[in-house]
Amino acid sequence: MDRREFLKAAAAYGLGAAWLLYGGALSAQGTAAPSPAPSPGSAPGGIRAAGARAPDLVAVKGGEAEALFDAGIATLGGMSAFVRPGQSVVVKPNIGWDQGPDTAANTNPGLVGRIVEHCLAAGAKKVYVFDNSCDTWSLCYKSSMIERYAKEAGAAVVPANASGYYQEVTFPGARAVRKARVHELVIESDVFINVPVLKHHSGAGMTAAMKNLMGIVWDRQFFHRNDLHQCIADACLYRKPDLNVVDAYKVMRTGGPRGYASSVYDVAKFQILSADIVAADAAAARTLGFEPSRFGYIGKAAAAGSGRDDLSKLDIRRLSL
Amino acid sequence: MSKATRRVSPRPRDTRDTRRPGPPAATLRAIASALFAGLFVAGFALRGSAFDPVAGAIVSTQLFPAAARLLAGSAIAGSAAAIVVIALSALFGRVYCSTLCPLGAAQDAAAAAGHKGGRRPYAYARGRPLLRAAAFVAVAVGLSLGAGSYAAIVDPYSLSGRFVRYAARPAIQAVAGLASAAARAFGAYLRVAPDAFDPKAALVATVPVLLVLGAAFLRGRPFCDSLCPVGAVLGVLNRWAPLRVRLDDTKCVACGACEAVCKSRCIDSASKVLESDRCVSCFSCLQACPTGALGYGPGIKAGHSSRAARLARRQHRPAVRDGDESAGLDRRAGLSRRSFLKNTAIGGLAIAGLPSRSAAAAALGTPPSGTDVRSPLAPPASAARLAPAAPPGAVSLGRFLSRCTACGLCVARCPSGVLKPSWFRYGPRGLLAPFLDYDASYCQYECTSCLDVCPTGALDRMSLAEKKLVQMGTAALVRDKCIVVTEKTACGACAEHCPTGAVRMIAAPTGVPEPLFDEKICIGCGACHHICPAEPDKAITVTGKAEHARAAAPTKDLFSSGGDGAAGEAGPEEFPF
Repeated sequence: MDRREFLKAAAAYGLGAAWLLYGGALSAQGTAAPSPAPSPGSAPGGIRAAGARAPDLVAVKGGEAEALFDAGIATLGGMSAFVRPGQSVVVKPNIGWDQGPDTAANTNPGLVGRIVEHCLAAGAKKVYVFDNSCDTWSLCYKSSMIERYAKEAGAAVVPANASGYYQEVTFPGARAVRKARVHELVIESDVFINVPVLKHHSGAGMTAAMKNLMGIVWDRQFFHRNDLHQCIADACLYRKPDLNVVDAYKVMRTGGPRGYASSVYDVAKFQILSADIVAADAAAARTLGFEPSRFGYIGKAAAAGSGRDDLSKLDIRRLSL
Repeated sequence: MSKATRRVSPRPRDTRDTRRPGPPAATLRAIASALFAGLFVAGFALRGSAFDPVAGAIVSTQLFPAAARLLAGSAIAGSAAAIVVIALSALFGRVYCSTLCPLGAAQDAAAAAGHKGGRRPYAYARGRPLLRAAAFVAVAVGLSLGAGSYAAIVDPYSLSGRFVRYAARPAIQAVAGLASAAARAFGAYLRVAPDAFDPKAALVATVPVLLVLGAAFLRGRPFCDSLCPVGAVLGVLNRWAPLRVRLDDTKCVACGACEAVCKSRCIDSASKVLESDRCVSCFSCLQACPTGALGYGPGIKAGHSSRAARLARRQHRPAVRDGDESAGLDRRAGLSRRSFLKNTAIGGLAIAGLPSRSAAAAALGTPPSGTDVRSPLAPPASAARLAPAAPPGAVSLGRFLSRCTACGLCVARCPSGVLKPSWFRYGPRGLLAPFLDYDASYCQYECTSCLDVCPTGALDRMSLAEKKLVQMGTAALVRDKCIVVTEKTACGACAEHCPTGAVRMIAAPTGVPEPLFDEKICIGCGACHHICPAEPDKAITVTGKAEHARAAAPTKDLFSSGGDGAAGEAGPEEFPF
């Protein structure tokens, strides 16, 4: 570690500590302060603390997915509030299915590309994109068009199909997933951006931000075997994303997560951005037309202190384009 | 070399050493062969859909699978490339064997190594027309009667494909794994996910190829001259082809230079005779000949003596030439002994695979169905209790097994890795024929790779829309083993992965949605089977169908009946929170 690196790290941890104190003080009136998961080399979200207080959650409506993100991220202080020059970023979309963008079974590829552009503009040294897909990864990466858009935007789109990419980590405080093998990019990258697509889900009821984290883990069958809702709630206990961007541009309301010809869709032109993964899912539940309490993992995650599910107590910024 | 001096020829000694640049035909031929072989290896060894059309194009030129296709009555269109190859062979001679045949290229490499790049000379050897004819008849009869996999024991294409897929590919991936580990030290972000290595398939694929290459190492191209069914046909064509390598006996000085480089060992220079049916048109002799007696071209030159005259002259040739080193007799004896041993070994392999019933019944008998398919050798794994599912386009196990030559191309191109070579799951006839191994993966709904590339017609080509309705197998759901029953916690992995909606979750009194199975729209892709997390036995498993059927198209109202699938209230108002 040279002097510059040391100074950088010191500044980062200092800012992170400031955020902890500041954020903790504010949330004392609500639930217990959610403490960022320990993640080596990361400066958890901290830079926002330096400026004005950003809202807890931003909801944007009425535009293309890219425009929604442009407006939403600006309201959160711009991407530079999350990514500092020289940092490495991992963007984790949902690329689970060998389906085209029109089925909305995967994250909107244009949105992924735009997020990559913002990261690079903020000075990221490297932006990675991956997902441990359900269908064969090479087909999913291609059909979803995420590989193409992300590469064009300048990201490194990397496979996640080899067990060698995954390293065993512990999930502090977890009830079901105490240990699991997690993709090394999530372990090593400075910034972790979670970009799920909002869908109906036949197993979990809804898939959005927390459910998307099943794609950073090698053995997804473990989740299904050991109380799916508890496992989904546990999944964010290793490392919570620094930013969650829920793509609700086109929402699959039935027949998810894969989607069928008979699936019902709603072109909502909607997007939810939040550093709080539980709040993002609570807002996503409402967007799907349900109370957050319907989905077991949201309540379990809130109870574990991973975030806040009571939307009425959040500072929410609502934008219509 | 002493060999150069054994001829009592009027040729001046020094012409032998004066290497003329000569026509580049042999070099061009070698480059073309290497290129083609490289693409062939890529088609079987590399992943990625980008190689699908490459593999398809390369393999479409291969004559044995094309013959299998035609004999099985498949559309001629699928064999167009091979028909062009046959037509070209009728015109240009046996060039196929030296350019398009992957096993030919491999044998050339082995022969070059064995003959030290030409420093160990070849010598003329008699052909084995009886063996060749017997092998050809056996193969033709076998192929016509639907014993494709047995016939393919001597198919150079299937032997090569299998070897590359099951033996070379794991080796290449092992090297690539090391290389990627090294590359990571320099910042490249890549790991290689190797295919599961199947040592039995590797062994079965390697042994015959090693025998062929071993023979090539010692003796040039003996396989092509004796066992190869493609060589048998092309040999006949080469005898009459207007363009072929010809020996002008009026210019020939019987120096033996051509004979020394002829890996087919078909030039009897002492008698000034070139046996066209065994010549594989490698053109090596053209460069070696100091007098220009050898040429590639049309027509009988004025100086050519008639075939009858040449044959008459050959009768004076002693069976074993006296000047031919001491090894002459021994070598010839050794050769026949060796080929005998080789044939015995190959035959033994085939017989070892025959069922306890009778060979004929296995080769031609009724398609195996259900658990009858299992032989006592089958592994006792849980999945082995299920009948194997054949890939889409197989139509029926009987039809599939009569046409599949187990070349391994579909296994090589399958993006999900669900296709695996069978080890007696289909019985001995289907040794290494592909089946869907749902424990390994599942058939991808939007994919037709296997049937697109199948060169033998074992898998019927069809559109993606048709393939999506092919029932390769059917699922069976055992509620008592299901996670939602045993653990009383949400799961739904099966329904999540099911591409047709044949498994879907419905509301249950317990409050935890349960899977419901609808056989009519199940296509047997195995997604549910593969992902089912229940242990130790899966709650949903897929069994192959001996006769593929057609699934009903998924209905439009799959999700109208509530259950988990109920949509929330109508689309969000201005902001739903």
